[in-house]
Amino acid sequence: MGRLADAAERQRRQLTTSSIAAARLRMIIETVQPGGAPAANGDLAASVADLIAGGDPAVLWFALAVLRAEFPDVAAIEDAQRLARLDGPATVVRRELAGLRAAAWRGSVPRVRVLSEAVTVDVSHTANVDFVSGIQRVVGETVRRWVAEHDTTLVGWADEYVAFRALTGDEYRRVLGTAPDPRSMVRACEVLIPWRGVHVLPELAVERERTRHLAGLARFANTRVTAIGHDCIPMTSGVTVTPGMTSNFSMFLAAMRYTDRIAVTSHASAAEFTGWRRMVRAVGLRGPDLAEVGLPVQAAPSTAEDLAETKQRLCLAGAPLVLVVGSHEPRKNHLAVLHACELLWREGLRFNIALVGSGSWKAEPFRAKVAEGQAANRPLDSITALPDEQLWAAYRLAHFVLFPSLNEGFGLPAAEALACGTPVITSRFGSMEQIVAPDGNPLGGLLVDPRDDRSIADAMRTLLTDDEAYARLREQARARDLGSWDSYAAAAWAYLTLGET
Amino acid sequence: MTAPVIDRPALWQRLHTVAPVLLETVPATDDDPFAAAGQLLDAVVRSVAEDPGNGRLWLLLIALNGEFPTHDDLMDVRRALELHQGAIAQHVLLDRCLAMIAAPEDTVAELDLITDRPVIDVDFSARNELMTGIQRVVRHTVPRWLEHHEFVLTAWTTSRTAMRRLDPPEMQRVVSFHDRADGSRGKQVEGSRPHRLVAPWHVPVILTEVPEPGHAERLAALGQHSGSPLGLIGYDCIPVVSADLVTQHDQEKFIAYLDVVKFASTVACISEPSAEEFAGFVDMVHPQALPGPRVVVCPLPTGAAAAPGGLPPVAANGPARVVCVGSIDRRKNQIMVLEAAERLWREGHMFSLHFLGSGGLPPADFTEWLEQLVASDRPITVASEVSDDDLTRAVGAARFTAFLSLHEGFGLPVAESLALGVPVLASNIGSVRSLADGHGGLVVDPNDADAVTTQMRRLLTDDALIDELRTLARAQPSRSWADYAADLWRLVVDGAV
Repeated sequence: MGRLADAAERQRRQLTTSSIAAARLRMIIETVQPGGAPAANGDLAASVADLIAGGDPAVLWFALAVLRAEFPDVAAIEDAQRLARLDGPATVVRRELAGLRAAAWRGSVPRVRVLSEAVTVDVSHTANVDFVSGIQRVVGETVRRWVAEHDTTLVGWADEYVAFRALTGDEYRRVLGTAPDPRSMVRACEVLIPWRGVHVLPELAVERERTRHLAGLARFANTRVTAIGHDCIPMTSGVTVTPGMTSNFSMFLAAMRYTDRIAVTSHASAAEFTGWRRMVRAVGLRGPDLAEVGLPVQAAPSTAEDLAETKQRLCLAGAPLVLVVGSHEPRKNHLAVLHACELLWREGLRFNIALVGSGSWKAEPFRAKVAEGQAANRPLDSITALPDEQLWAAYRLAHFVLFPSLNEGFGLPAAEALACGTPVITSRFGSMEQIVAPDGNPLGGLLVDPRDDRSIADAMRTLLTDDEAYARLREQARARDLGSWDSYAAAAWAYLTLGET
Repeated sequence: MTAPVIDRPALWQRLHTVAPVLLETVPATDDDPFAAAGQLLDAVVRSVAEDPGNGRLWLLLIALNGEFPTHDDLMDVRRALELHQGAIAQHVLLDRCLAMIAAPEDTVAELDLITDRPVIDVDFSARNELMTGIQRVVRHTVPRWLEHHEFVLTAWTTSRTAMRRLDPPEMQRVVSFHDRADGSRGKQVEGSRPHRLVAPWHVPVILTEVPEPGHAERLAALGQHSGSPLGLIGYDCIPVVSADLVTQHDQEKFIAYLDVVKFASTVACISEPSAEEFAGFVDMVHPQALPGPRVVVCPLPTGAAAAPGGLPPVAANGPARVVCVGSIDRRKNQIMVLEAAERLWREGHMFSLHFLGSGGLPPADFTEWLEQLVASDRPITVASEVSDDDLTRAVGAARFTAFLSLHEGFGLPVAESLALGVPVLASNIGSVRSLADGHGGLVVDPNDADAVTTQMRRLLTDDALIDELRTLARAQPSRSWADYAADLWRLVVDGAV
């Protein structure tokens, strides 16, 4: 009885295994040579070997990706090319089929689907985090508009970042804020293999397995890979980022060498990516094309209720509110801010300060200073979580926003303050300078040297004591137009998918 | 953990050493070092607190802690001094210092203030026996500088918190590596402790190596705040340009080093392409309103004078020998040499293949294939720990050498092969291309196996080609280690003041 069942099971598995292998081989042939002549005496493996023998690395990448249900990395392609040269392409196909049969016998093969000439958008990280940083905000606003206006497939990564897969319903909701049309949903357990498509990476990818497989795709597949380039801070201000981030970012850059285009978000990120590409070109690689597609900022409206609630939470009667937005990492320069405040309080100036931002690496000195100030009864609040509606209300309630960061790809809080008509004090260089003074003249803000606490204190004193100067800045801030997400999304789409600037 | 206790006689010595540059007039102090330290401290703190710059504070912290401060240390103390005056300022300062001391054992070390000659940091080459490209540069250059200049050589303390003098075995490792008595070789001896600390004051500081991450932050603060111009040798930017070819540790180490580069005054790069890499990085820091270092080119030696040893090459009899010099790893791309060789053996060509070089992380696929080929009697040898003489003999006896690296700052094995008049099959990438092309090398795309095989076949079969390349190799202009050392001194030391 047991024996008979075993035999039947074995037979069933063998049939499944052969049919999976045949289906995958057919998938390769039909994609690479649609409508081509049927295989000689039905030998699918030989036909795939013939396709590989053509020597196009894109065909080899695709064949391996389909047979393995996994994107081959650079080493896997080079290894297969070597085997093909020395022992012939048929050996490569034989080896891959043996691997596939073994996996199928164990019952561990996912379904594979080919995405032909599609635009895929990689939102794997944004789809899986609850917090909203600057990058996540850009991804959400942009991708929502792309999905509404273009034929776009949002993807994440399967298993250990080995291949694309469709998003789950939860992931869609997190990125778009709405549930997708069920008809547009593909099964999330399917592995998606692109062929002659465009793949857009709008977020930062630092998972090492992800960048390893992305590098193979960008270098060898016939899908063009493009990206939004936010900044190179882990390389240009390495000492300020979390341990491990620097090396992971190096691997991200290694993958970016083989992309077609990167849309950079500001003059500062343009300078960073252009400098990096100069380094890449020194080794004889071309590197991606770069174009600046400047980020916009649009303020969300605040209701009377939001304003009232936030006022009660953050404001002190009779004291102007100084608002600081940004996580507690050293790069945001909160220690300089707290010192400048202490200098001004000692001068007898009246104001209270609210620092809104999540905790982070190396935040201990910041927490200690906040505790010290509070113990001395300084009007000082650190708020680690503030709902979006209250944050927008806080921007509107603030006397001014203080953002003297040491390095930013795009200084979002400075731009958000201006979008709310609130004056801002920020750093006199990089993207922060560009936001306040797009044409060289500051409009709606004061620029300071963030490495000089006195320079920060001087600007604060001006906005706290010089009513005339303050009124002028307020006026200028109200008149600022910082662009719209509609036009950003359209310009980014045109550049990333079509190469149009 | 026990609370750090500052050793007061050593503290007195250090304060006394820095007082002349921190004070206009050094006050008379008691004979008792304990009391004297207090009296000096009072005067020094007052003077430093009044100075808005950070340079003198940087030096004061070294005197107090026996450690080089980080930027965060400096800013912390600077802010504390702005909020307190008089005796309280002194208390607050000492309190902060005690909190920031990372290695209490170093607080007993005495300090030398260097104000009249450059300080040359040779940390790794002094403490290690390893001989890779960077150590070759250091051990060829520093002895030549010794013939003409006065300077102080330094390494870092065990805790990686301060610069210190070398002890005699370390000195030998740097200035007479090959001429040491046999007994002193191979030993990682540390001399007497504590070493004397070294604080450079407004003199050029030259970093000859890529520092370990442990002290990079303190070096960056030196470059940013101390007033001493920091000069670097720029080797390459492989870990950020070709991160997939190096280890994760090297990626992290290099980005920590880039924080030092940001605040350096000069980077003297070993080739034009390496200078392009560093110039690209300088472009990247401009958005932070930092000027970044001046980037200059100081090429490593080439031509006959670049030969690794003094032995004349000896032509070998028998089948052609192909030699491949360098640590075995993915970046050096030896697997491509192996593939071309195997294809040519299968075609029936007769030659032997020799890999020479230590270190590196041999990739598994290379090692596995190599073992298979050796087992099937392919004429391959692998030798690590090769002396300069053996290297010269092996390269000199080769029909040609092969160097198909995917990314180099320079390519010493190419220069050394050509120096011996031996043709090279070389990558067409960056500095390797410039070294080889037209100077006795055949250049080829190191990723193109068919092209590599074709060129290797030509080199094995075409005697006229070999003669022509040998002539070109011998005809190239010669640049010696003495030339390199002199140019480097001019660019990073004289150029700094």
